[in-house]
Amino acid sequence: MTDEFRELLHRRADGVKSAPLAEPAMTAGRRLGYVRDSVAGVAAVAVAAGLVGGYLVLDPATGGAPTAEDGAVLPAVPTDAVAGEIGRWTALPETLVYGNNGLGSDQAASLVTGDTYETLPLPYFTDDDGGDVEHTPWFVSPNGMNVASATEEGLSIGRLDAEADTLVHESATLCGLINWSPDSSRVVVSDCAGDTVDLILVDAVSGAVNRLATDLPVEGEDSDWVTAIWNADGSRLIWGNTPLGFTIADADGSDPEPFDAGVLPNAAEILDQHTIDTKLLPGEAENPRTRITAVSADGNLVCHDVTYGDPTGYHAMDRVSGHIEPGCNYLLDVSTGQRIEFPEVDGEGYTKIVGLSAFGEVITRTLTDPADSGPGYGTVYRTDLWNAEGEKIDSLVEPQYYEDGGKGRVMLNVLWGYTS
Amino acid sequence: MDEFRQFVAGHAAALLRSAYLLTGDRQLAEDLVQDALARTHMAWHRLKDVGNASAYARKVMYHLQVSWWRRRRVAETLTDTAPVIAAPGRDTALELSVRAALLKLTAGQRAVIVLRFFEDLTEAETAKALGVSKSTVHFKSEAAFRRLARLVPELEGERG
Repeated sequence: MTDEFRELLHRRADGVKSAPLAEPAMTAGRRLGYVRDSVAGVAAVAVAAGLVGGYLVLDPATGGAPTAEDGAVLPAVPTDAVAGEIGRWTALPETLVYGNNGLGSDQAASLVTGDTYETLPLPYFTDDDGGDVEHTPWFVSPNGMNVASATEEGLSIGRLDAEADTLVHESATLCGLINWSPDSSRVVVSDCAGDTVDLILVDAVSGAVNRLATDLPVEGEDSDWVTAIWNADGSRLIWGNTPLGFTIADADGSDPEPFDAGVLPNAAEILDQHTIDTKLLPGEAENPRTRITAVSADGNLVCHDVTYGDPTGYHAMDRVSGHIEPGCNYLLDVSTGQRIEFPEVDGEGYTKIVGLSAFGEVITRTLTDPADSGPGYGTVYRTDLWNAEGEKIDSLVEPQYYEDGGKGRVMLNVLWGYTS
Repeated sequence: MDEFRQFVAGHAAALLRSAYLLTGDRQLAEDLVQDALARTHMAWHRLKDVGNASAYARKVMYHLQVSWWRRRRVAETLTDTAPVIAAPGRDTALELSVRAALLKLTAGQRAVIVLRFFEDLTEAETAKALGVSKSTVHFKSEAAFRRLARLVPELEGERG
């Protein structure tokens, strides 16, 4: 580039005079600082309560994570998140956690225990007028106790029932989905600051952050949904996308190697003809793509959430509905190439696999005929628990909604997590 | 907070010029700088000296500009209001063409161009400021110039 172009840029910027900015910036900064102070208080409580320690801490010095000197990230700040345990699933949990759908806000969770309901406003910031911040994607941990959210400032983690959570990774370019490890101790999310996706691995308890570079493009012909999840016992990390394939590595991203995610089905294998005829464009039925939602402990079972059509690019957070439910529609045994089926529910209604345990148990959630149960709306879900041999060992017809005082009817369509 | 006021007094003008190139609009530039300074104020206690604060403010500003949150807020509002004043020895038409072409770059490409050729940072320094790899900076820079060359043919051959 010649000096002439540089000069053009300087001419372009010359004459732009500075407005008084110190006082407005300080006012805005104090507002943000108020939030930060609240967060620090919660972190202090967590430390005092002895909740920190004993979990995987990724070393920023060896992992290439940004340091405090880089400016735009924070040093590790412990959160008040609570890790769970990995064990056999012998019964469905007593309490299910839903994303609210009915209060006009994404930012409250519903805890349903039998006939008892509890609404928890999420620990997000409010503006000076007391209103909610704009749409904030949030994801509840598998143990139903923690929440991770992508706020305007970055990734925040905390207890679901806390009044504030902790900003663990400062970034304005988070993208994709936030995924929790099976024991609720770690979080992975993508960062789309560059042309390729970086995975942000966070110890949800200590707040330690590590950044893992990938060769997955943020945009371009090979762009597609990017999967980044831990397998069912949390020992391995899997990432990738449909066009470029998948990688499996140790839990911290080390020792990566190619991962065989199996062959995706044509639409006719998992969709009825009416759906194919009315929802897909010509040719799309032969163009499957996947977002992997779960992988078994041995890597043989892969839970694909398969969709069809042209890739739409890697979705930034603002294009992700806060109500994307975990789960997949195609559980594949990659060692045999056979689909794992659930004859008792297949054909009954739309079924998603929403849980895969370290010991092979599976949780499915089926949208059943509304005549089966409950009055009113035609969205009745039944959750079933299956053992590793494919036998149903527990079942629950979920409530459709509850009345939340004067606020109206809270629909329970989106199952986020479940208490251990 | 006198230190912060002094910091703003000493750095706001330079930040604003860069922000103006990034946004193409004075008001948006002021908003962008104010957002960056607000975050700098918030982090003031852990910024050890003014040098760190300057780097921090600049980094935050560039990150904010390429973030989807901000892009969403300012989408479709990139309308320049600054007049280009004819002056002896200046190719006003070329300046107008470059101005329009800059606004047709992606936010990330524009950030790379401004850092590399307005702030005169190296590829490595640009990569650090944006939190991306050197290869990413190189790729964005190449893509930006290909686009600029298509939009402003007079710039063809200007690269060195």
